[in-house]
Amino acid sequence: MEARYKAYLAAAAAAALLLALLAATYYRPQAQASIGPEQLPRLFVEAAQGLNESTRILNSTVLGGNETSPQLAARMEEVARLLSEAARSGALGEGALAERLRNASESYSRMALAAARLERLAEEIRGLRGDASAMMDAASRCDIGGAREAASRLRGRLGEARMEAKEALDALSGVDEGALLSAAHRRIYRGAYDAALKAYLMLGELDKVSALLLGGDPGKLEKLCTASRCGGCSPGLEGMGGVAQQLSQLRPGDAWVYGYREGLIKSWLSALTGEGGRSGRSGGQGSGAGGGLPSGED
Amino acid sequence: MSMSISAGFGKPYMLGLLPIAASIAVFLWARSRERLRLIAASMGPPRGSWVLREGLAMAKVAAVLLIVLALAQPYVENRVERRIDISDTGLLRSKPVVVVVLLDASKSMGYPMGGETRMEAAKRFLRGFLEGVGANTTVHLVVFAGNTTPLYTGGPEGAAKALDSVEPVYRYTAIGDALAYALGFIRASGLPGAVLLVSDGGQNYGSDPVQAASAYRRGHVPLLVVAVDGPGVLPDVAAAAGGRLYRLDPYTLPALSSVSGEAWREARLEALQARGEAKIVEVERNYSASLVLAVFAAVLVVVSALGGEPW
Repeated sequence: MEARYKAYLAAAAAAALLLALLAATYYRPQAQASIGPEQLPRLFVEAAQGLNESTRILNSTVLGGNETSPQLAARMEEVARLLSEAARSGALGEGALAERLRNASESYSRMALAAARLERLAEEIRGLRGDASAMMDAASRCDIGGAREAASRLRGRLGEARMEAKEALDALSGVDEGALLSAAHRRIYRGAYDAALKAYLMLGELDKVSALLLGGDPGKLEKLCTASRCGGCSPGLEGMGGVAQQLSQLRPGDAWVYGYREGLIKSWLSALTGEGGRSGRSGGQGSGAGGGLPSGED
Repeated sequence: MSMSISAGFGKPYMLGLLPIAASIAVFLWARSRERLRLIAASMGPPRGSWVLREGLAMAKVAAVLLIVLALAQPYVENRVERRIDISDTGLLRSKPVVVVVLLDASKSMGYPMGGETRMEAAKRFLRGFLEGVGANTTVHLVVFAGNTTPLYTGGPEGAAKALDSVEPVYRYTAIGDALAYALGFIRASGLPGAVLLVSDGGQNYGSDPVQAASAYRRGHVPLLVVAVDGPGVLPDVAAAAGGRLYRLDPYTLPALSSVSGEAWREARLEALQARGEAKIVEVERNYSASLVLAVFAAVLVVVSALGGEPW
């Protein structure tokens, strides 16, 4: 064989080798259709880690973070399916150990499902938090027009987010804490449940505020807000029993990061209950360092 | 956001092998030439392209040098400097910050507010605030009334304990004096710092608090004001300092953790922004060049071997 043909052959072999190496980097083994008992511990750990990660993402998202992990949600749904199938199949056999593994598989399956839901909930919250902040900011500085605009944009998204939070809570409620195999996993579960509950309550509070803003007379709401700031300086607040009831139902402690601003909105009540213009003390200036007598001792 | 790109080696000491590799390469190349000379002497000029023969010989030389370069793990480094906004303050946790907490201990802080006293509410707020500040924060706790008294300097846990001893029993309220003291402390510390003022705003003694607060704006020192059950002079103080006012009253009390968390994120970010430190550098190194070189070297070895060049 001539050297030229050998060289062509060599080049072709090299190209094939290169392609094979490149293809190897793209190879991902497909998830197995079913799993054996020996694979359960790995999936249990993966479900717990996934729930931990999605809880972290949810907490960070509520505080304003932008981290996303769509592949986590997809993988957790796959893990949930595998564990659920393992729990229902007869592959685990009979006896006390098999029964324990079956219970654990069910619980970890729900943890994985909740992890996927929490990740999606974080995605929903990421989408609505701009409008939520705009609504709360505007309302707490008595800009009722601006708050109503933000509230109307927010309203549609709140429903989906609350649904996602509810589903996450449902999945987590189905977890038998006693069936989890380590203290660390129980801690992760409790942390996730707390975060899901806080998010659900927070969304509920945002819903109440948006309903208040969109349902009330904007002019009267603005008067109410202004009056609460200056101690009853704005008359014409009669016939606001409905608004008062809505305000009294606000729970700033449940509104998570919006709690402070919801507290400011709830303080509109002070204009209706006669506590407006909380006094503190008048902002009188001092008489200069060391000079003159103070106006009072307190 | 600014970006810079540079290159380097992950294991630069491997480049010390280059002289040895060069010697091996020269030896291989010389042996190849000698072999060709012997073939030409015994069998006449070899058939085929001269370029191809020389190319195969050079492939061996290049393969040896590429292997050494691949072992040195060359990389391309991408450095991105990113300014942090309020949503990502967690990324700045490792940066040291000083917070001066000015707590009003005048008698009016003992007045009732929503089932507890103003002082109790202020302490609850401050405990929540201190819980969230992180270990890299130095807290300077100062109690003021007619006088300004430093109570504690150190980590947040110690500051939370020191709060226990504070009682609202002192006469007068000199907010301006306390603000002036805190500004001096921040400047002397040389660190990014913020001041948190917790008071019912009943200024009745000492220097003008609004004037003292305006020095904060000029000095780019962030001031956060927490008005406990009544703003008094505090809205003017916050406005003069360009700072933020939080109201702590029976309506916002249930959301204490929200107030303290928000106040802390704000304080920390503003302190670092004022010193130009509210940024992080993200470094990404791409080592794929190393793999490419190794694959290329392997290809050259295979090509030269299949082309009839002995190793």
